[in-house]
Amino acid sequence: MIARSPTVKLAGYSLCLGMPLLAPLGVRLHVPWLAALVVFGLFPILGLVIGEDRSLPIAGLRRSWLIVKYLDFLPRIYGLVWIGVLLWAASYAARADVSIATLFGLTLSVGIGSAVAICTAHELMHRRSKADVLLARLMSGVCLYGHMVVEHFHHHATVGELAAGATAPRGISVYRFAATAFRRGLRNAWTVEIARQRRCGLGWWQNQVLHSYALALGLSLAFFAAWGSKGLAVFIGQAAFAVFVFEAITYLHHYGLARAHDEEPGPQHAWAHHCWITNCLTFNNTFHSDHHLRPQVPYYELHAMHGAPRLPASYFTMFCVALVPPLWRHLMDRRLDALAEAQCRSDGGVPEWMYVHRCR
Amino acid sequence: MGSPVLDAIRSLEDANDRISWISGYETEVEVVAAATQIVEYFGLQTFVFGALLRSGEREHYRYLVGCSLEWCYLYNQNKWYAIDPLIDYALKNTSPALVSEIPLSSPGQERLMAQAAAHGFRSGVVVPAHSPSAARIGILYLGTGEGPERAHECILKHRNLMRAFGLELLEWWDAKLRETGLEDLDLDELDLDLLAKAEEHATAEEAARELGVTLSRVKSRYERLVRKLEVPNKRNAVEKAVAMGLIKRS
Repeated sequence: MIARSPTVKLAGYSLCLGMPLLAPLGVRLHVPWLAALVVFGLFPILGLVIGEDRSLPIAGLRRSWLIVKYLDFLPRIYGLVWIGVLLWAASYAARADVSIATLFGLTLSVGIGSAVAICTAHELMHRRSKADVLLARLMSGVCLYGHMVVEHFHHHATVGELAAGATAPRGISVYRFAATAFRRGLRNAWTVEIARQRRCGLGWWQNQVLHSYALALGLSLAFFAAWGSKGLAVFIGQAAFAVFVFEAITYLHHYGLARAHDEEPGPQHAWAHHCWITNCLTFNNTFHSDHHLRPQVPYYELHAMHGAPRLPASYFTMFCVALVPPLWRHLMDRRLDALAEAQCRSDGGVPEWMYVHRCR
Repeated sequence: MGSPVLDAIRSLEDANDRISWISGYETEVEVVAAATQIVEYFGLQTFVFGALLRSGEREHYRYLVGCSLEWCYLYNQNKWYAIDPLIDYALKNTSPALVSEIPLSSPGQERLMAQAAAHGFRSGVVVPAHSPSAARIGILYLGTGEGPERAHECILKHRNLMRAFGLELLEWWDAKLRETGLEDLDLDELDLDLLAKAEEHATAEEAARELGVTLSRVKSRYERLVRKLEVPNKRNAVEKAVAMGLIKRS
């Protein structure tokens, strides 16, 4: 019922604002690991109870000024709430009575909010408004992932190309992938930015990748100056966790789905699992296939694509599975085999047991 | 759509507001109605705003007319735009000037100004308006049936407001032509982004990686753009798009 109602979904998007607030709530309840418990414990269960997202975007939604403003503003508000929580967490960590375990729990909790912040920055960077793109650059810079805003467009252009680095080849573990994807992403962003600078006659100081890392360095120093080594640890820790989660999500999205040179990108080049709760919390990030085909479309107009192969479980569960590479390979490699077999048959396509459900 | 009913302008602030509202109007009728009141506030009676558009070797004009239509007919019939000293002034200058101070250099120009005087432009002010692209220049001609002293008095009093008025009218045309171009040619935002990248001399591969589109899609879009803009190649498509105001020069 919930998963089929577009109206409930509109309200559900605001749940994301609770994600960064789990960190201060956890501290208040003396459970600094609360965010991790909720996200990796409660949400997979809730995801099973609520079911997969079967809602379609409301037709003519753009005619409703108020709703569109609400949906457009949500990612911006998320950015502000998250930055506020990050500042609070660093100041809290600087207190003398904070134990190492609490510091770890707090950093992890803020890092979960930061991983969602990268998803949010991803939504904002695809918008045409300069202010939104600037906010996206700020947010990714705070996560020490500043090259994303340049590199992500490269990823769109090269989806399914193993050499580009954002598509995990079969058999690679999430740990190795995260390291190589970060390195290659930085290299891709640098190449794209240098080419743009040369073409437009811009000076080295106008390099966007440099800007974002200068911002990261400045913020690191500011956190250290304001809240000492514990404040800096929270800042670096949350960023490292957020970047790892984002690279892991990219791993989930495209694992083993390489594209032939003459093949056009399609839904078959991204794994899907349309968990309702994940969609609400990540601005429809699971509608990734649709996003690749229509990158300029706002998150609230994306929907499930027919023809995308299905992940066995939601992102939260599969993230935990990916942390255990043998388990991941056991679950995923048989799916890749089935896809390869289906492609060899005359009918091609995705086997029925791996279909994502249609929207209604 | 009929012209909007607006009260007469009574103060400088009011005039300033009315000028800033121009960009919000949709039709020429609305803009002309609002402009007529602004011109009356300046203490003048007639106006013509010409937007000079350059597309490659070709030049053409679009007008907003707040004067006798008979005068416009005569002006076009005689192709006076080819010798108009006010256009020549606007191309080379940026400041508003009294028409009486612009030198006439041929008998044709003297005939033109005599006819203008007979049709409500006995004296007046010419206000050049320049856009970032040299492909589009605006010329605002404000006139009165009274002598040059009247025009002199008006330019002393409203010089800066006249400049703002000219620029707003040019921006209105810019937006209007861009909109019309997009609709007529059935172009979308990706087409504009691709044209802007081509204007920066980006290769198809660079455009693909900066815009997040596959190379094959970029190539097919460029082919479609060349077809839609009816030009021989990508470079000419960029030139035409700049001239039409679809993209700006970097």
